[in-house]
Amino acid sequence: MPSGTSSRPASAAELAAEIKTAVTGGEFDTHAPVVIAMPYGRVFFSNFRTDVTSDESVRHLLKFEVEDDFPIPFDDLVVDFCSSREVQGQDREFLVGAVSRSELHDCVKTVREAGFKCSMVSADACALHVATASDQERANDVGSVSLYADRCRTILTIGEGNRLMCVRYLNNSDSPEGFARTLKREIDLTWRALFNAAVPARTKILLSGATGIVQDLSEVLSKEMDFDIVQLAPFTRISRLSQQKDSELVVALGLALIGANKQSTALDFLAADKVKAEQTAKTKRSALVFGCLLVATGALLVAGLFVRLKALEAEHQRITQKIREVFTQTLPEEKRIVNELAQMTEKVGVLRQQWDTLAAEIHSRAPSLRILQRISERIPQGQNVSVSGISVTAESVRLSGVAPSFEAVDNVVEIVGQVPEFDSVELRNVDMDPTSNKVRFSLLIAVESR
Amino acid sequence: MVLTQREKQVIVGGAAFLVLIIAFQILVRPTLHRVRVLKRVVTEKQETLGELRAKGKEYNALRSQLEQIHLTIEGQRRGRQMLSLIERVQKDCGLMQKVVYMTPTTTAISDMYEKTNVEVKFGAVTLDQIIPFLLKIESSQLLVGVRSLEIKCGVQNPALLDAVIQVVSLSTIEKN
Repeated sequence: MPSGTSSRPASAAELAAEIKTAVTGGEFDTHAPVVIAMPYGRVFFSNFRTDVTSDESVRHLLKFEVEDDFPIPFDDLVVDFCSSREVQGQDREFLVGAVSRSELHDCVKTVREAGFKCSMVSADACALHVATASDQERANDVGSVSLYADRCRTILTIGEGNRLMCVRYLNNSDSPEGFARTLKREIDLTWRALFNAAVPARTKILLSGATGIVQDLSEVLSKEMDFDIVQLAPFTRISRLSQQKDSELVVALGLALIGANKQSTALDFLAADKVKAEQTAKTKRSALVFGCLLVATGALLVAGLFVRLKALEAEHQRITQKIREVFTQTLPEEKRIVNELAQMTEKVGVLRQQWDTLAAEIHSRAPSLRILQRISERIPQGQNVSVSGISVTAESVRLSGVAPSFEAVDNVVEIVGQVPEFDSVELRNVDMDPTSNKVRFSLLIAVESR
Repeated sequence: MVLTQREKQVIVGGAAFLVLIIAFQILVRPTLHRVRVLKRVVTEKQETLGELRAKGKEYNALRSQLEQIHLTIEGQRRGRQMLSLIERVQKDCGLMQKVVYMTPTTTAISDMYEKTNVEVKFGAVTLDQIIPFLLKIESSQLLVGVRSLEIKCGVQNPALLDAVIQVVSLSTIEKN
C-alpha cells in the first residue's frame, strides 16, 4: 500500500478507499482472515524480565509492570508479548509490544469502513520475523538478524531460533555509509544486551525492503561489516509467486502468513484488547450489578426506615390521643392537663383516702347477731355449759362461762374453733369455782377480718 | 487540567461516597435516632395507657361506692334521725323501761363526715328482747350498725341480763 511504505499521512477515508480498491480489484479472497499491522511509529517494543513462570500470570501483571516503558497513558495502553526466553537464573525475558487503544480502534474502524472485518492486528516487525522464519535454513540459527528498509523506516529484528527477541526501529535519513555505521553499532549493542556477548563473525543479516535501498545497503554493509549479507527472497518458496524477486512486500507476506497459519508467536493487539475489554466489561457489569443491588438494598432499607418512622409516629399519636381520651372520660372536670397519669394517681389517692376513712368506720361494725347465732348453735345443750358474759366487737369476741368439767371446756374450745368466721380461739382463764364446784372459763376469739 | 477516565471515575466515585456519607449524617442518622426514641416512648406510653386504664377503673369504682355511701348518708339527718330510730326500736321491742342510760357522742372523721356513737345500756333484760333489738338496728335503711355488744348475767338474778350496746352511724358535717 502506498501509505504503508511512504511517509505521506493518509486520512482514514482515503486509506479505506485504497484498501477497498486494492482488494476488490485484485484476486483476493474476500472471505479470508484480514490481518493488519499497526502503522509505522505506532507500535512500541520493550524487553521485560520477570521470575513469574506462567504466561497467563505474566499477561495479568504485564500492563502494570511496563506502564512506564511506553509513551502511552495507562488507560489507553494495550500490551501483549510475542515471545520469551530463559535468561540467567529463573528469570524469563519477554518481548513486549504496546499500542494505543484509541489508535488501534481507529485502524480497525478504517478497515471496517472499507467493508472488512479485522481478524488480527499485529506489528510489521512480527510480520518481518514470520516471513524470514519461513526460510527455515536461515532462521533456525542461534541468533539471526533481519533488516527491512524502505523509504521511511528501517526495522531491525534479532531472533533466536524461531523466536523474535528484539525489535528496533531506525530512521533511514543518513548517508548510506553513516547509516551502515549506525546499524553496526545498533546491532552490536542489541546483541550484547540480548546475549551478553559480541556479535559472532560471519553472522547472517537477512536483508529485505525496497529494491534500490536493499541493493545500496547490501553493498555498503558488506564493506563496513564482517557479516554475511543475504538478500531475502521470501517468494521463492511460494510457487505461484516464484517469479517475484522483490522483497518489498515481505511485511505483507508476513502478515498473510500470520493470517494463514494463525501464528501464535505473532502479536495480536486486537485479541489483547478484546480480552482486556471483555474483562473490563465483565468487571464493570459486575460492579454495576453489585452497585445497583447495593443502592437498591440501601434504598429499601432507608425506605423501610422512613415507613417505620411514620408508623411509630402514628402509633405514638394514637396512644397519646387514647391516653387523653381515657383521662377526659374519667375526669371530665379536669381542664388543665399536664401529666395524665400523675393527675389521675393523685385523684385516685384522694378518693382512696376518703374511701379508707369511711370503710374503716363501716367495717368496724360488729357482726353481733351472726356471732350470737353461731355460738348458740355450737355450744352443746346436754353438757350444762352456761355463758355468763359475752363481749362482741368487729375484731374479737370475749366469752366467759361455766362448765361442769375441764373436758366440757375443751369441747367448747374445739367446737367454737370450727366456726368459719373465727380465725382462732384462745382459752384465757380457766379455774375451778370452789363454792359451786364448777369450772369457770373465759375465751378470746379472733374474728375473721373482712 | 486533562483527567484520565480512571481519574474521572475515582473523582465521581469519591463524590458519590461523600454524598452518601452526608446523606447518612443528615437524613438517615437522625431518623434512626428518632426511631429509637419513638420505640422507647411508644412502649412507655403503652404502659402508661395500661396504668391509666387501671387507675380509671379504680377511680370510677371508688367514686361509685363513695357516691352510694354519700347518697345514703345524705338521706339521713345527722345524729337525730338515728336517735329516733333507736327510740322507736326500743319501743317496738318493749325495752323502754329497761334503758339504764343512752349516751350519744359525735366525732368528725374527715372534713366531710362525722360519726355518731350512741351507747345504750339495758338492765335486767332477756336474750329474747336483745335479739330483735339488734335485728331491727342492723336491718335498718339508715347507715347504722352495732359497733360493740356486751352481755352479762345479772348479779341479783342470773336469769336476766345486763347489756351494753354501742350503735354507730355516719353523717355529713353540716356547714353553715
